[in-house]
Amino acid sequence: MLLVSTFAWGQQISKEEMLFLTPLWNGERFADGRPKVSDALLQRLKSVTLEEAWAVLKNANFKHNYEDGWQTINPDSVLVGRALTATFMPGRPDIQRVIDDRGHTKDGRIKSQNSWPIDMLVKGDVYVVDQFGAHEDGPTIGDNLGNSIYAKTGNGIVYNGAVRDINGLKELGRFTSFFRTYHPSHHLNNPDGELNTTLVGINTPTRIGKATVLPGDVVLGRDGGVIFIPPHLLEKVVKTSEIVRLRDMFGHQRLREQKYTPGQIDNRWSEEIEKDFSKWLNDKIDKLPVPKAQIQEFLKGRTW
Amino acid sequence: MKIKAIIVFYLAISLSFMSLGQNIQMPKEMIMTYSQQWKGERFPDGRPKVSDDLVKRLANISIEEAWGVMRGEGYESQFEGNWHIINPSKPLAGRVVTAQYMPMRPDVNTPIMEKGKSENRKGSSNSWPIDLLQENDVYVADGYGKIIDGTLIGDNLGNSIYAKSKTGVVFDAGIRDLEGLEAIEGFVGFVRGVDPSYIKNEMLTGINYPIRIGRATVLPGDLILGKKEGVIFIPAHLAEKVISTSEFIGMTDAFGHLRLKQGKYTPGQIDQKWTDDIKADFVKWADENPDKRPMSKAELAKILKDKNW
Repeated sequence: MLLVSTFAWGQQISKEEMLFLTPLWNGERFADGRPKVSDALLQRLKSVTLEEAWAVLKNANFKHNYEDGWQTINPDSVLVGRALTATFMPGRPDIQRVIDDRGHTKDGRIKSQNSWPIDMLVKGDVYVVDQFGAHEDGPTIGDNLGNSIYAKTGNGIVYNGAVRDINGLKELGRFTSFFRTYHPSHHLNNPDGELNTTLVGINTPTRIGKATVLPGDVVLGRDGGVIFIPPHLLEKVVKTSEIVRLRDMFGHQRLREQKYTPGQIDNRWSEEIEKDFSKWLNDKIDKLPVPKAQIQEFLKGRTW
Repeated sequence: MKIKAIIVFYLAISLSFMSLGQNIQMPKEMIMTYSQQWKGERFPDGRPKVSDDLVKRLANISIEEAWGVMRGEGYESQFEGNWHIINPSKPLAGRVVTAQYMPMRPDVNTPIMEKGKSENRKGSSNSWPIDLLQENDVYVADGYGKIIDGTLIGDNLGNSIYAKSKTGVVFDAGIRDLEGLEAIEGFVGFVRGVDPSYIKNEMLTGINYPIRIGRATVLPGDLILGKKEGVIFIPAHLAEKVISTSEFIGMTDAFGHLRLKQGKYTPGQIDQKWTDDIKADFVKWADENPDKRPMSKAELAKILKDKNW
């Protein structure tokens, strides 16, 4: 009766558990509890380098959020979005059957397990998958599901395993992705026949190489590496990066103008330079690669 | 009286609500769902409890035989090799308790440690799975292959594990204090490596959830058999079939070798499908040599009846 529904449990993490594991996030969330950082911050994140994000995370004691060693689609592009995670393990008929059965009859899931997490994706998500590095007979994603993922999220994927249909995936154009390998085979999901892959979790914490990834983490993938930014640190990552970028722009310009010596710029700036920087920001406020409102806020906090 | 009963009822409901949220241990309902083909005894937390008799017999079967039977049942991801083995002269056999470790994240670790404290768990989280162990359990952990700063136990925890379980461990991770662990008589370990460092930058994320050990997916209550070749995980509902079939293959081998030595049959006769005469000879031999028969008479009769041999 009452108790039965209380204990209902599916592949997907419960909302309560999601809240439990993301206690530092005080902002907006999706209906299922997944942290939802703002679109505006995601947009601004696109200009942030991995070093800048890495340094902010390291200072906050988040030292296991970066992973590299990827093959990529669109190596010169930047992947940015909110993580939705899936964890697969080597297939077992006993759990494959009951997971299929409960998914189809109770949770309204359709067909194969590898499409269930994809059905949940929304604009701005990045699908982050642990397929335990499976290569031959590993791919759960080809150009069919790739088209679906791209249509729903506008993004590519982070995939700890092999993908197939690499040509079709590349043809999607902006499907900027990070994956381990390519193989033309596909995963096997028949509990009564060939089986090598079972979905054990949607939006549960998952490990991608040396990084622990939570749903709602913000993915920043570029230059061959991926960092998973806890949502509560995103604003700090973006703002720190923007300030560093502005200071670099100003410093490089003044060096070209030979207004200051390298020694002056490569050191702690004098009060005179800081004042010059404030003036420079005010003069150029409409022409800088950082939103005007953000620069105004920054200037307000400055004593120069 | 009635009001009291109602209060107790609602108290029970609210307590069950409270016990939700992050479950450090897999909820009973989830264990029951995953292991629903197991119809036998269970621990209070729902973990399948394959009989002590089968656990004892498990130690004597071969990895190849267990692997073959499971493969025939469609279980192709149950074996993992390439281990550093501690005390390899003794097989490791028992019921699986799982633990999952992941790279440290302060935001996740803090609530887990608080939850653990509220559940009265003591000390650092890598000792919590050990607190649950019972005799014939084997502690199996995914430490994502980390060895340096990833040593899940040293000889202190090793002594505790052996005192409770009388078995050993399977770690996709490292250990420290190798000499101390080797000195624990009867303790068997399958680990990835040895390092003097202690566990660091790592956190426990769950107990008795499904975990991956290399090529194998492992559930709590699986049986585990570890021998020099590696480790194999047997789903509880297949334990009896795997063990008795393996034992049966062992018996036919023993019988065949004996008769070949005696020159009673030719190799061609033994290495092929047996004739009815040889089968009858085998049944008679099995009957007269109960010490060569690890299973009960009834189990043997069942195999003889089911098997197309």
